[in-house]
Amino acid sequence: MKFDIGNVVKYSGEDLIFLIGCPGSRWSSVFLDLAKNEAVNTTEWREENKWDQPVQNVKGEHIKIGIHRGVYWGPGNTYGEGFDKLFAMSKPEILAEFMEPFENWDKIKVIKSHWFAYHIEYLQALFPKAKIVSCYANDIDSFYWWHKCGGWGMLFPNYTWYNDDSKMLEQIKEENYRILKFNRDRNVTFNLLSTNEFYKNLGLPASENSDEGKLKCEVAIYDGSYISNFGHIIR
Amino acid sequence: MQLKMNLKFDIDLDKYEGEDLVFLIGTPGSKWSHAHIIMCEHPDLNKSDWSEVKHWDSKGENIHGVVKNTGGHRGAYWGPGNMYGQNFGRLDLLSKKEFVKEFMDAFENWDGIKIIKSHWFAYNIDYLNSVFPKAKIVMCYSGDIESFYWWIKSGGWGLGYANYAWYEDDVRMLEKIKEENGYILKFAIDRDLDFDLLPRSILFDKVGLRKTKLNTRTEIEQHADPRVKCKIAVYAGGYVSNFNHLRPSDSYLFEKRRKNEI
Repeated sequence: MKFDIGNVVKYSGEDLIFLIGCPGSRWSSVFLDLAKNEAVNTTEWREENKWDQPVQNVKGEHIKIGIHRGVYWGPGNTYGEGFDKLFAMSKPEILAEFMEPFENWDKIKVIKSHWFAYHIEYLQALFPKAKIVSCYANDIDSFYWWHKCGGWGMLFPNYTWYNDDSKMLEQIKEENYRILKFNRDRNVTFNLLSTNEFYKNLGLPASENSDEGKLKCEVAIYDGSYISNFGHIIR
Repeated sequence: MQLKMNLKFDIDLDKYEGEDLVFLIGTPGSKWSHAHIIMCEHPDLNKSDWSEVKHWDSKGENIHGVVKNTGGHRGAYWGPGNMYGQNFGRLDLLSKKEFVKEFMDAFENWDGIKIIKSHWFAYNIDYLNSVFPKAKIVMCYSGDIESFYWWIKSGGWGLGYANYAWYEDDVRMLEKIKEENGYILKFAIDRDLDFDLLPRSILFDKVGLRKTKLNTRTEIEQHADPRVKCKIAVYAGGYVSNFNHLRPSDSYLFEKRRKNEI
């Protein structure tokens, strides 16, 4: 393993944040907000792992949307090739994939992958102390926004696993369904948070520089605590 | 197959070439209904197919939080699952008489210009044009993803009118939008037509509607001249050879252009 973390079996992912969202959900914007925090490790950022989609807004101003930075783990990308079958990977194999792009293992590491949506329970079982940030924008809005941000013309990250529009739409629906299901079953709600509320809920230091603007998509934060599905009966 | 049937209104079917028809074609979500509503502002348009049951307004909040109409459906929509044109899924199986019967059934009278709108026309515009060579064909185009998105935003599967059950689900809807857009583009490009965001007055002129205050230059300056919300190409039935560029002097249109008649 690239970095020494001691006993892999005992490692519970306490310094990890898993970021999950379907293509076009604006999860990358949430990632950028996370990466602004001084407690987050951004040593995985590279010049070649970068994408901006220039567009005109309704006022005719040239702006950039679909800003992609850092590593996107998953099939077709540099790291996380086997993440569509995460259940077939062992904890050390998954950890090795996480570590590979980072230059050091200090601070909080944000690991983002669309394919986590298909295996959230397994991920949580392996790394029970990691925070799970789920991003949600409904199916059609996500599909539309992904196209607006460059769609199949996007150079980074790689979306070839999704094949074509039909499969993209189907997979967005499936990813969104699984994300909703996981959070709903744990009584975790989706909210449009301000940046500092977001930091606070994740236990990250508040930033004086961060403006009080809202995140660009609704997020749910699961911190690994146990919530019984029968809570309402016992109560 | 020629069925024994009477037409609702009396016309000489053998001589009838659709000279009082406008075929409106566009995919779901292309904002083609806006083109329909704009065209219907002309007094010569027959709106006797409009009724309370053939009516739908989609409501949505704009970016300022104000509730507005995001789409309006008026009059008959011909096609499978709808009141008229149930058999339009296979246009090539229909005779001229069967077409005309379906068109007429929706109207209370046969006066003026009739707009016949159907998504399914996209699948065989050539056949439609050969059966009704004097009808105008108004084609709307908004791109696949834009159309799909706008259709969902305008109500999608929750739209109370028209009926979209033929499209089954989102994935098939997207596939069919792509297919319909492909046919529309092909037909227009093969005839050298451009898609433009037209003001109402120009649309009226292109469709050949009589001059009124809505499309007379001096009057327009005193009135609003709203643009249709989607790009439109109008085919007026003229013959345009695909080989124009090889022998331009033989072309009827070239001659008209040379004489500044168009």
